Amino acid sequence: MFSFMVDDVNLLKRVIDSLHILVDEVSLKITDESVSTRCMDLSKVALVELYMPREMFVKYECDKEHIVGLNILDLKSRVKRASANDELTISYNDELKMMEIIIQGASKRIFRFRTLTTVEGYLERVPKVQFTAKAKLLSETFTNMVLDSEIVSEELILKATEKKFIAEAKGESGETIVELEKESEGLLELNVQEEATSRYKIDMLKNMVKGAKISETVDVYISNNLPLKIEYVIPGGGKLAYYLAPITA
Amino acid sequence: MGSDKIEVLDSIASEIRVCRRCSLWEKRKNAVPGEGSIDAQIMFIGEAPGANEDIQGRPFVGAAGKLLDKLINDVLRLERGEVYITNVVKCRPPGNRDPTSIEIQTCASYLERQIRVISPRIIVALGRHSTKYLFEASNMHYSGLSRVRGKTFNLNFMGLQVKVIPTYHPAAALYNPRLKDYLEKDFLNVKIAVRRENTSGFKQMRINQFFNGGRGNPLKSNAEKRKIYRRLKGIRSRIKAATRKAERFYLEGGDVSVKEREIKKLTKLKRKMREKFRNL
Repeated sequence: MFSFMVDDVNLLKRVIDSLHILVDEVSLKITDESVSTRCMDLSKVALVELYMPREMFVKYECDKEHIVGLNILDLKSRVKRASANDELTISYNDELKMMEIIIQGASKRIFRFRTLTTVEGYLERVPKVQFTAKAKLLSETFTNMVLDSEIVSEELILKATEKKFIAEAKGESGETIVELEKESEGLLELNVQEEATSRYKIDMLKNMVKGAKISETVDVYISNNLPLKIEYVIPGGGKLAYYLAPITA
Repeated sequence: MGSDKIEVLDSIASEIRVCRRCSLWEKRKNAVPGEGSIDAQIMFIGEAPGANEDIQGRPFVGAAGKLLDKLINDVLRLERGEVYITNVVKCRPPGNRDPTSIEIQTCASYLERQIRVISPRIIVALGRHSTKYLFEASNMHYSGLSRVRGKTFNLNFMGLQVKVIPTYHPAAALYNPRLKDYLEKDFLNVKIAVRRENTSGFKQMRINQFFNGGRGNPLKSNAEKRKIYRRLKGIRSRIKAATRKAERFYLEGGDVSVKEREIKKLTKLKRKMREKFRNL
């Protein structure tokens, strides 16, 4: 049996939205220490990783490790019914073998729904990549980099040099270059061990930057022709990370 | 992952072969699950098997199939084995009539699972039935084949981002030369979409190719996988042929021990290749 009470309902809604942009079903792993999930999108081009430690919750109970398959829409539609001031508890009813969402506000509302048995198991691995460059940006700046590039192309080239973090997009109608120098307001940190250039699909990136609603800053990790990692820190010690496979020659 | 894909596709095919969900099973000789590369970037979806397909249990093997092969070879510069070909309905409707909406709905779960497993980047919908099904399953309004043919639609098919290019069914083009011209033009658009997908020789990698480290060239291991998979397929068909021969020898009262030894040897080889495939 497990049960955890959420402090910030709106944050939970945003976290669920951030998962839903990539996957419809997830395997949620609940242990004594955290709630987490790690799964790939259907086209196996991207991976999302969510980690929420027990400290993020007001009340937290878990007797053993649980892995439950959930349809995100099932979860989202019920959590959506809670308002910001409500207390929201997510638990598993062992007797009924169902997930329970209890919303305590002006009234006590209980939503029960079935878990999924056919979801692929919790992914134990993440891409084994040695990132050679890391940039900490304002989430809004990174979102704009992606959206500016989308105007001319379906692909985006990210470059990290010692002094600059650059997004380039070239299309039939022209090109877009967004340059962030170390002193730029939108670039908070830039650590480059080795200069890196990599190319990615914008349609996927566009979905991922929606995580911007969770955090004001984003960490972007790249390497030469290797997956990209975008990490948002969730207030309270959690993290939401996306991995995106590159387009290579 | 590749071996998982093969196993899932094989199990879907086995389910289709014994399926009795609608009345089409009563008159079929063989169900036609589909065939092609498990890593196909392009998937062709037709309507339903015809007489030749029903006899052979393979999709697009009649005159329409020849035209489809020609377009794949000449326009797309690909081999039939590099794409995946299937139909919305897996059994032949009697007298080659159109499949009914109930038959399409009943059979759709197989196609949906096939699409999820192969996860192609581009789907070429051949004919109005497959186009209508794909549009409706992606919550898009279907306004008629002549309006949508040749165009590229970015659809969200049950969570999978895929480009869908509808065109005429090759069978329709056999009897109408004008449609054949349209079909060729639409295939040129498919070629453009493929080129855009692989912009100037660039290919979209999959994230699971990096689970074992990304410093190597994951495409190389994919090529090796394909090579071993082709060998595995060959061994499977040799086992089938040897089993058939052994059965015939047995019925004729001949010596089956030679064939039995051959089957044993091939099975051992199959196991070895399978292991090798899994370890890649």
